[in-house]
Amino acid sequence: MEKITQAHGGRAVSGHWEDIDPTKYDEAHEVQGLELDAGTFISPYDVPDGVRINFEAQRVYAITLRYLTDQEEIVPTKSEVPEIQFGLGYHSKRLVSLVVDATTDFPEWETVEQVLVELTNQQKLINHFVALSVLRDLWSRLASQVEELQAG
Amino acid sequence: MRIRPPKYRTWRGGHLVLSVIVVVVSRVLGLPSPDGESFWTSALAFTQEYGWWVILLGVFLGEGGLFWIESRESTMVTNALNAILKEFRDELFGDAGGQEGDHRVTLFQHRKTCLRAIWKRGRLPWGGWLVPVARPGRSSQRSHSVFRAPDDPSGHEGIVGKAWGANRKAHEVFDLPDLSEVENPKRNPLVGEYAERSSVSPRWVRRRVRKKRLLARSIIGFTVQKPDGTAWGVLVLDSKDPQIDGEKTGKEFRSLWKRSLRHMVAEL
Repeated sequence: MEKITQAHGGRAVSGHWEDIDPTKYDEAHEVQGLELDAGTFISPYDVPDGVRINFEAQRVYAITLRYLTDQEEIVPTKSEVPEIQFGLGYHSKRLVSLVVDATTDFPEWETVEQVLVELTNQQKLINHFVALSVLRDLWSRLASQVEELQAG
Repeated sequence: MRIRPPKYRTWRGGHLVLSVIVVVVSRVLGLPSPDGESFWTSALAFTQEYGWWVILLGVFLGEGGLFWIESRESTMVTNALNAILKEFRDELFGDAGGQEGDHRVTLFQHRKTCLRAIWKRGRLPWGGWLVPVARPGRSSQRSHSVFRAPDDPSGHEGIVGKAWGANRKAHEVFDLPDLSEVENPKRNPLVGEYAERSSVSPRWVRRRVRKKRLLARSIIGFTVQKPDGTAWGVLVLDSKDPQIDGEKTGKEFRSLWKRSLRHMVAEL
């Protein structure tokens, strides 16, 4: 993941795509607490193969996931937590982007998880199981970098 | 019947409808014969006298030409699809051993109507069907199975139908009963178990057992999408082995998609 530095402050910066190994998520063996059985096959279309973090404005971060179908219209979706907004695939209902406003505090992972599950219950999101796994890996790294930045 | 993707369906349908309209209208209107002799009046008189034959000849020539073009084009598309799916199948099942037809990859396209359903299934042709358009391999080239996939998910048939309607866009079933040794399918409880787990009717399973057709022991199906995310059809992998490697399937499919399938699906 590209390191966020003070140089990014105040202006939009487009990060580089970081490749994800999709085979880690092809079967739901690592997903806990969800209805899928271990070994359940997940459609290759629902597993992202890349992630990018954009620095959109001061303390506003956008995480974008890259999928096989890359020409889909994105629907901006608000969540119950005002600091977090989502971009969902219009047809596929996949999680494509996540915008975090960390102006006050960087949201806890549990909050993000809860919001994703809520979107799934509302049948707005379809690949929460993969999105959770991918974002969980990313979140702690991003949070620590943001903390460093804010402290510095 | 060789499986072929349709092309020119709208064109052919439009041509047929137009031909019928022309025949009916020309018959109903029946313009009066003109007086006097000129090239145009004699041409009109000729048309009135032999109009039926001219129209019929036009219909047959037009339809024949379209059928010829369609056959050539669809065979080329099918051959290309079969070639890339064969590569995919070989990568997936190359080490599995057995015969060519023991491990199959079939691409189904979702269509709103399917005339084949009338004589193959004795069902109405509309309402949504999943129709095979490509399957590599000589021994398994002939495919007749079409599956219902209406808007109502409860009417979906087979793993292919379940995959079409599945929320997570993939459906799988492993360790299905081995029916290769079953002699009397009517009394065998494994037939019912097989039918229930693979979401098909027991009658369908019994017929395949009687005909000694392959009944796969593991099946994976997932929705194939266009680059803009809309659902296009379903890719089904089935094998005589009780398990299919999901991780390998995902990996090979991504490679196939980026290499070629993406462009084929966008064109079809």
